[in-house]
Amino acid sequence: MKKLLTLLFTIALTSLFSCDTYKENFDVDGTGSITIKFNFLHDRAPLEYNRQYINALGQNYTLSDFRMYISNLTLRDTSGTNFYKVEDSYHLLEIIEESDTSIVITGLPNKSYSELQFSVGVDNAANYNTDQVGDLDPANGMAWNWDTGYKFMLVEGLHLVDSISTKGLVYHIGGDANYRVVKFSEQEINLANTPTMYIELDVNVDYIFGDKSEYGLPEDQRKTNFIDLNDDTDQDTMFGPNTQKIADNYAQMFTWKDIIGQ
Amino acid sequence: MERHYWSVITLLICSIYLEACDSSFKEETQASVISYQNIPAPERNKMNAEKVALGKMLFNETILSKDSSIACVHCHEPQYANGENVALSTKGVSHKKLQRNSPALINVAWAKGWFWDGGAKNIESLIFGPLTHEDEMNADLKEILVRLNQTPIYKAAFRKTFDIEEIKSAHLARALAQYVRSLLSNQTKYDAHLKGNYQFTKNEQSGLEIFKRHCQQCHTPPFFTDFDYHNNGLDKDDFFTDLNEGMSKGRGRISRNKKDNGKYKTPTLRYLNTSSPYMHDGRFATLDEVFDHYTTTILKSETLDSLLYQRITLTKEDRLMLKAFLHTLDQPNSEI
Repeated sequence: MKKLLTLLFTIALTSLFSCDTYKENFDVDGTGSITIKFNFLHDRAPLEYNRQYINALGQNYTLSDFRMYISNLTLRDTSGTNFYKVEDSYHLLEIIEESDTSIVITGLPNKSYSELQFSVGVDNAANYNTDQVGDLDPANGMAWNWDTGYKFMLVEGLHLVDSISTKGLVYHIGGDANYRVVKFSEQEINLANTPTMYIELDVNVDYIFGDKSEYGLPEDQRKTNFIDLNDDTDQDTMFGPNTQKIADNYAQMFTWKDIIGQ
Repeated sequence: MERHYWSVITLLICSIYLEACDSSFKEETQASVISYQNIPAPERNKMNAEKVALGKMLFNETILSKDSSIACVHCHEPQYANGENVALSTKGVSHKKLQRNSPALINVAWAKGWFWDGGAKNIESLIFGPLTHEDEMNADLKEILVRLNQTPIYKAAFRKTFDIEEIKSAHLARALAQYVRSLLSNQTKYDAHLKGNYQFTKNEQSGLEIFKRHCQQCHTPPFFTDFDYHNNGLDKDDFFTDLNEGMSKGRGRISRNKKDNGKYKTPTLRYLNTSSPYMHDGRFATLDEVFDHYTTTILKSETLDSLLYQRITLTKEDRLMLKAFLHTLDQPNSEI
């Protein structure tokens, strides 16, 4: 009986807390605007297509196409209890022109925020209907046609096996298991004082195959996973265990660079 | 006390009355399940006669294929239960043999997954499969949308039905999905029998009994499919490989679960007269070949459906009667 009471008390307490902590605000639009610029980098320099790169395992490759979905942008205010979730927030980032690596959100409440959050991928609710407009339009080439859903990240190029032979390098990663949430709380985003903010985030694209600076570390002390490009069956490049390791890597590839009031 | 006594009696009478009505009530419900009014559709794409008509036009439209040579209807012909009369089609723009039989499109609105392996999670999303597959219509979605937007008749029709200025791929998929959902089978002899308008012959009645014993667990009335996935012993374990993007794994390719290897969606038995050849790869041309399979050639594998551990033995006479019943599900000529 005592155990039961403890359990009930715990449940009650947990539900009380979870009720209070997260309040979504959709009804208080303001004049705040944030532009988030994603700098696609490789080895700390701007990502270049068809340039020879090397992963942590010493395997050579080039990239010819890199795209990803960023979704569900959310801001948490400094009180910590309210958050503003941008509606219909699905953004396809690709290197076609500069603007394709930026996200602009407007109509934000003029408050001060302590945390910026977004996800890599498309959430479960939107992932299983591909008849959508905007960045989720399947005409953008990020939807599968044989298994309903979106590629969260598309990585294509060549795996340079040795000095003469090459193989296609293809990672099309999607599926609920590979959806990842990324959070930043380094700096305050004060839209009450400065309604227009410009944020720059670096995207270390090379981290998708493992952060090379962790090379000397034993496996259990590394934060990223070293991906073997020879694991290239469909299972490893679309939904298999390798893709979950890559997803853990892409959750770590973003770093906060700058915030500028305009 | 007296009042209580009466209420018990009333209840008893009611329940007896209900029991008596039960069987005919069930059959009547079954008959009326499949109707235009009952078509399930997602909130974002509710059935609408104008959209269905637009979908039909698009279903017959060749500009949706890369080289404007084929339309959906070429592999989903009305006279073949909105399927095709060949095992594996070569009508796609590449003219390469497809890897699965063009499925009959009948009562598919009620399904829970689409394609033979359930890879499509709704009909709107399914549409993009045949539209964009390189061996089917091979459409570049951006390109065909330019074509549609430049065709005044479509521009006007989409503006009217969807209240939009520019046609996007989502609208195209929604219109086509509505038409596909509207392809019903509910006018067979079997349906007439349920409504009391047709009396089964002796053979048909006996065939129904055989059907109930051996077939209806998977081919469940009134759809004559449970819309579920089963391994009916067409291939052995070693066939279910990663090769060819795991195509031979069937449902296992989608669920990525070994337990689903070799499973395919139960096809409906409605319009069986016009939906041959049979199975996901159209390997059997006739009903007799299908019966032969269940009687003699079921292959054992890890995922073989337990219902088929014992082979289905059908005598010559059984086959005759079973066929008689199955033909009450035929596509009536009047619908063509």
